[in-house]
Amino acid sequence: MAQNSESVDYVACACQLARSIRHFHPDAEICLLSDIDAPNSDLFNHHQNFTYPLSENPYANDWQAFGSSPFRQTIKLEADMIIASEIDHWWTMLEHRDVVVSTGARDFYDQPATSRFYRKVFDANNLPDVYNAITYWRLSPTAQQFFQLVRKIFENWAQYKTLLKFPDEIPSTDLVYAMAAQIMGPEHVTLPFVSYPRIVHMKRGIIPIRSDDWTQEITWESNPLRINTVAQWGAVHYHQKGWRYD
Amino acid sequence: MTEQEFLEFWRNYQWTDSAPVHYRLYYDDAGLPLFYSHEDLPGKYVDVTPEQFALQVRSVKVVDGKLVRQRTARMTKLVPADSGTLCHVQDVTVMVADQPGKCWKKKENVIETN
Repeated sequence: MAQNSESVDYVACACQLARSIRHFHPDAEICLLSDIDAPNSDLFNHHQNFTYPLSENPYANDWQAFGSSPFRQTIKLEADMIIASEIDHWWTMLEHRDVVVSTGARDFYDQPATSRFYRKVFDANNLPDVYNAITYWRLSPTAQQFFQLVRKIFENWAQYKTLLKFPDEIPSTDLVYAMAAQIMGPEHVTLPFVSYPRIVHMKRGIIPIRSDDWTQEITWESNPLRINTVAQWGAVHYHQKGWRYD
Repeated sequence: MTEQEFLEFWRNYQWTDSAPVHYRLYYDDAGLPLFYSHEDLPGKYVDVTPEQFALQVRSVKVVDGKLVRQRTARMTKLVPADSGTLCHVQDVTVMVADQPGKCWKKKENVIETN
């Protein structure tokens, strides 16, 4: 899912992500959901445009992923990530559920992220620690209900934010997913005690770096991806949108 | 001048308004400082305190109309290069001498640590 902004070419990020998936799974079925015409790329099996008019808040278009997916079972991945290892075992665990939103993050040492710097509003409101960067669903009433709820929260944020302590003025997708998960029951849409899928988060508040741009400070290698000489696995959310892996 | 003339002058003289003293830092579109000045000049500026004006600190940046101290650090990291230490193609921690490899060298970056 990639919606370009003025400063970020998310479609280029999505192409990079698709390339990393293809590296481990040449036969993977990949769909790009974006607001531009099909990119000149054979990386994607499918290309969908957003069906409904787009909101000014780009996050608020997230709910359209559910209706746009051509698959019975879908794993939605945020565009600015890299897949660093095989991930087909994800299906084995996820396929037993209707919806799974990943919970928790880890640093590049594969240690659970303990910093709550970016999660203050979640903690203040006892919301589940979800990361929409990896979201699985199968076509089901539960998934439909979940994404309808996501849409409703985004479109009626002025009302929903009154439910929260210290709400953000513009809601992030993670916060809206967390509210939707809380309303539906976290036990229905999360698997908080599993160790995967869980993103490697490269934000400054989570990993030991001194500036916002980790690529200026940390040595990284490609094929396989190693960060500070540590081999990575699963999904790596690299955060620096201009970072190119190859 | 008699006392009477002086008092008449004092009452009737049109004193010019004293120009306010500006303490300004002019900055460019990126928020980086151009110069400190007391003058009213064209361009973007932010008012600073007399103490800040006296210090004339250049390692600042203007963000949302406020002065932010720029803190920088020098970080050294390894980057691929045409010359340098030859390492294994897939692992920078393994140095090789007699097989195809990839060269790495140190690079120093100045980073903002605000």
